[in-house]
Amino acid sequence: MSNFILRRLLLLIPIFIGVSILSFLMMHLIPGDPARIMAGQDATYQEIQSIRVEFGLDKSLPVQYVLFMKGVMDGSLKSIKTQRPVLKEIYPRFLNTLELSLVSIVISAFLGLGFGIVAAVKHNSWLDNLVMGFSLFGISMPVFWLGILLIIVFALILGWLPAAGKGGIQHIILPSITLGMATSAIIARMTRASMLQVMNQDFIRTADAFGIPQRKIIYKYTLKNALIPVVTVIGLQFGYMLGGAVLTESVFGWPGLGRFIVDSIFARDYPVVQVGIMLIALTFVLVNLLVDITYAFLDPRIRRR
Amino acid sequence: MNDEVILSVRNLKIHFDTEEGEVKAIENVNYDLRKNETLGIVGETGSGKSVSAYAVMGLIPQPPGRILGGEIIFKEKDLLKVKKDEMRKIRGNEIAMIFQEPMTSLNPVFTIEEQMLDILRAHGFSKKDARLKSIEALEKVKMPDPKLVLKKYPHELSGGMRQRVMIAMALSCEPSLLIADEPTTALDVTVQAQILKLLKRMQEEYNMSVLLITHDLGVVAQNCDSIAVMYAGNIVEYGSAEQIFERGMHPYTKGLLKAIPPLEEKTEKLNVIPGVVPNLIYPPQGCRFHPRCGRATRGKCDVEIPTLEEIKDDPGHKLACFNPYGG
Repeated sequence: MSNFILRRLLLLIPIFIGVSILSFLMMHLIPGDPARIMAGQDATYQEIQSIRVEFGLDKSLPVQYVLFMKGVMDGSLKSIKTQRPVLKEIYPRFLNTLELSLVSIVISAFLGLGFGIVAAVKHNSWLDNLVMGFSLFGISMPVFWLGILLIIVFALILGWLPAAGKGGIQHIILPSITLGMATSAIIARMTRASMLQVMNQDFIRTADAFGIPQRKIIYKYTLKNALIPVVTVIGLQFGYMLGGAVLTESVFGWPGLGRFIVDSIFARDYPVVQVGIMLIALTFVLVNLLVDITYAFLDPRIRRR
Repeated sequence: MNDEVILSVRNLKIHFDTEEGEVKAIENVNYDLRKNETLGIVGETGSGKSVSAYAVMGLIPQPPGRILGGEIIFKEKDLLKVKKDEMRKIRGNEIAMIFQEPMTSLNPVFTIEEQMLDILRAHGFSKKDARLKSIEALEKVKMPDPKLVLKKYPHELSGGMRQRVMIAMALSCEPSLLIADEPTTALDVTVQAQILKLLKRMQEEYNMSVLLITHDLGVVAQNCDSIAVMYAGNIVEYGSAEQIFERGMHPYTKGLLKAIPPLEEKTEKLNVIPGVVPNLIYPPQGCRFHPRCGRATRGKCDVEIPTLEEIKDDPGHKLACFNPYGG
C-alpha cells in the first residue's frame, strides 16, 4: 500500500511540470503577439516594446519558461494591474475558493450518499421516487437562479443569513448549498445506481444465505463495493467546483479565485490568469491522487497494480 | 442412515412474474430428506432444481417470485411461515448453502477472515471463538496454512481454494443441512473430484444431510443416496441411486442415462434427447415432457398430468409416467 502511494507521488513530479508548461504556453497559444495583447489596443510601439522586454518575451521559449517559473517562486512575476507579486494576489483568493469548495463537497457527499443509500434500499418505493425526483430537480437547476432564489428567501424575506460577502459561518451557508446542490444530486444518483448494481452480485446473495444481518449487508458488504464509482464522481465534482465556482462566487460576492481569474481575463492581467489556472490544475491533480489512493484503500485488487 | 426425516418439501408451487408472462417454475415438488442422507436433484437448466433449493433457504425474491402453495418442513417448522428475522438465524447456522460460482460468491473487498468471522458472529459466537472456529473449519477442509488463508483476499486464491473456503464457511456453524447448488460445475475436472470427496467426508464427519443440486449424473452417481430427477418444474422420478441407474423407468431419466457417452465403445454420435426444455410461461398440457417423449400417447399424455407414485414391487422408487419403460 505505501509502495503504491509512493509511486503515485513520484508520478506527480512530471505532471506538475507538464501542467506548469501548459499554463505558461497559454500566452503563446492565443493568436497574436502576447506583448501587444497585454499592452492593450491603444498602446504605442514603445509601450509594447517595454512590455516585451519586461516580461522577457524577446527571449527564446525555454528561457521564458524558466523565467516565468522563477518569477512565480520569488515574487518577481507581478500582476499587471496591481504590480503586486502574482502569488500574493492569488493565494488568499485561492484559499477562499478552496474553503467554499471543501464545505460544499463535504455537504454534498453526506447528502448524496445518504439519499442514494436510502433510495437503493427502498428501491422502487415512493421514497426512492421522491429522492430521484429531487435529484433531477437539483441537477437541472441553474446555479445563478438557485443562488438568487436562496438570497431572496433566506436573506431578504426571512433575514436569517447574509446575502453576500465573506465573514463568519453564516456567510458560507448559502453559497455552499448553491454550489453543492447539483453535486449532491449527482452523487445521490451515482450512489443509488452503484448500490443497486452491487446488490445483485453473487457475493451479496452469499452473505444473505449465511444469515448476515440486513444492516451489515447494506452498510458493509454492499457499500464498500459500491463506493468506488461514487468516490470518482466526488473527486471529479470537487475539481469542477474549484474551477467552476465562478457563478456562485459572483452571485454571492464571494472573493474567490474563479471570479478573480475572470476579472483578470477582462483586465488582460495574463500573469494572474496563468498562475491561477496553474494552481487550479495542480489542485485538481492532487484531488485525483487522493481519489486513486481511496480506490486502493477500498479495493485490494487495485493495490497490486 | 437414519429414518428421521429432517427436511420435508410438500406440494411446493412457485411461479415468477416476468414481463413476458408468468413463469411456472415449480409446479408440484415433493421430497423427504432424512438425517445423514444425500439427496441429489438432477435436471437440465430451467428444470426448477435451483429454485426449489433457494425456496428452502428462503431466498426466493418476492416479487417477482410467488410461492403459491406447499410446505417446507425443517425440524418440525414450516420454513415458509417463519418470520424473516428468524429465517436469518436459521440460514448459515442450521441450513448452509454453497454456490456454483466460487469466483464471484465471495466479497472481493474483504479478507476471508472478515467474512468468516461475520458469519460466526451473526450466529452468536464471540470474536475469539469465531476466530478459533474459522481456523478449525479451514483445517477441516484440508486448507494448508489456515492462518495465512484468513489474511487473504478472494482474488488471491484459486477457484478450488475459494470453493474450499465456501465449504469451510458453510461448515463453521455446524449446520444439520447443507445445500450445494452445482458446487463443482465451475471447477476443473481434477478439482471437482477433490471437492466432491471433501463434501462426502464432511457429511459423514458432521452428520449432515446434503441436498446436492446438479445437472451432472456422474456427480450424483458417486455421491448420492437418493436421486430426484426434475423436469420442467416437477419431479418425474425418485429413488435410490441403484433404482434410478439400474431400473430407471421414466423416458426422461432413460434419455439422460443414454446421453452419458460410454467409455468402452467408440461412438460416432452422442445420444441426445430431441427438442428443448419447454417455455415455462406456456408449459405443455398434460405431462410436460410429452412433446419430447418417444412413448407419449395421444389423448393421454397430452391431456392428463401424471402424479408421482410409488412403483409396486419396488419400495421407495417413485415415478410420474403413464408409459414407463419396463412398465
